[in-house]
Amino acid sequence: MTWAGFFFADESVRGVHAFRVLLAVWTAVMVAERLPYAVELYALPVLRIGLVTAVPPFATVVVAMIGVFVGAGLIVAGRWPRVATAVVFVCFAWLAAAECRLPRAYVVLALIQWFFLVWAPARRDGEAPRWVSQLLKLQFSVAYGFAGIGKLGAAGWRTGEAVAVTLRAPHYGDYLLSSWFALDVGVWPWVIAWGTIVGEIFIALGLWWPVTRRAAIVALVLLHVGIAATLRISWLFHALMLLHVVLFVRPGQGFGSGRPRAARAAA
Amino acid sequence: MATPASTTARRRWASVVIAGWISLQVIAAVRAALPWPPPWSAKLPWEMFRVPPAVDHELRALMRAGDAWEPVALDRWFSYSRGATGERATDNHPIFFDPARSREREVFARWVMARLIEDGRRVDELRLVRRSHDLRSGLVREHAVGRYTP
Repeated sequence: MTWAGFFFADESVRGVHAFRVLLAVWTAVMVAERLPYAVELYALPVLRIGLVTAVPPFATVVVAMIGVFVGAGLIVAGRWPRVATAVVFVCFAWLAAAECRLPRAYVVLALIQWFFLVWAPARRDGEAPRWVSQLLKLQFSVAYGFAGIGKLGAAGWRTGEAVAVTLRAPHYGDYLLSSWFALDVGVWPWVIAWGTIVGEIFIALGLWWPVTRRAAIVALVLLHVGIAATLRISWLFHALMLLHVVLFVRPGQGFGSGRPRAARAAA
Repeated sequence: MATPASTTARRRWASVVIAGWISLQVIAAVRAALPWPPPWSAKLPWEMFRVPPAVDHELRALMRAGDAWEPVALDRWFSYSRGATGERATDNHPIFFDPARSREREVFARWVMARLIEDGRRVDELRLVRRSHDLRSGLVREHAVGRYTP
């Protein structure tokens, strides 16, 4: 496939539209989760190690939060999607920068995806050059690909020790399954570590080919259900990663073989 | 309706964004592979839990009024714990680990004491202690971070 074909072939805009709506809801929920802690996260003069080291004017934080809620509401309602997307991107970026701590990796991922969505077609239906959709998917794949390759290069992951240590960490592990069962001993850490490494690399690649897409989506769901059931990591992280699945669904083709449903039914 | 000129301009802009994104990924991969020290090299982005912390830390504060010591509930001001973790901002903050950042530790201690005094509490001294739990050996140790007076 050529560069032009990969990025500029026309494709249904439904996937990108659905992703924008889901990401808008996700972003609004994430900001809402921070509301009760707004003073601690944005206004305290101590323990600041975020991107903005000085305490930002609190009014800008309030305006940015309102901007995210209004922008997300407009996107869900289907009104002025292009302007609303730009508003959410700018406001969310400011909130991430103004927070007292550096943004987590999944917040950075969400910001990158908002940046791409600013250039996405504003309409809900029809076809358009798919370069934004391809970039959204590539960014998602790169996150898993780099995560898997990085773990492959870490001795602690190859032996399973990294998993054992994380599962018994009071701040992150000792939670649900890792609390009920001794998953940090014996062969379990090794099995979980290699399952994670292979799973992440498979997700990064497998989502791109119709024959492996369904298995890659199953692997993605299993990976996040597994993490959610063993580690104390924000459910927002899992939700963000899982909502990317809508980008890989083709109208009329579902997740699977790449052949239209009608053709499969005829066969 | 899009004209051929506007389509060409849009595609040109799209190509700039795509090329910029690809360049960033290549730079990230190359920097991760370089054997040189930072800033020439860097860890690969998106390396979630590549090197998980082997020690779990918790910052504790004790205040003295006269001869009586009592714990200070730091989670009154630092209660955000990021998702389902129990990790507060105070637990792993770099100023409590880096010996060179004594000035920032003092600013933090004075800020906590000022809040306590605002509440009408008598504070003669504040002690900060870091409790470290080694996840490999299971050993729990306490390290004195500093003693401060108002």
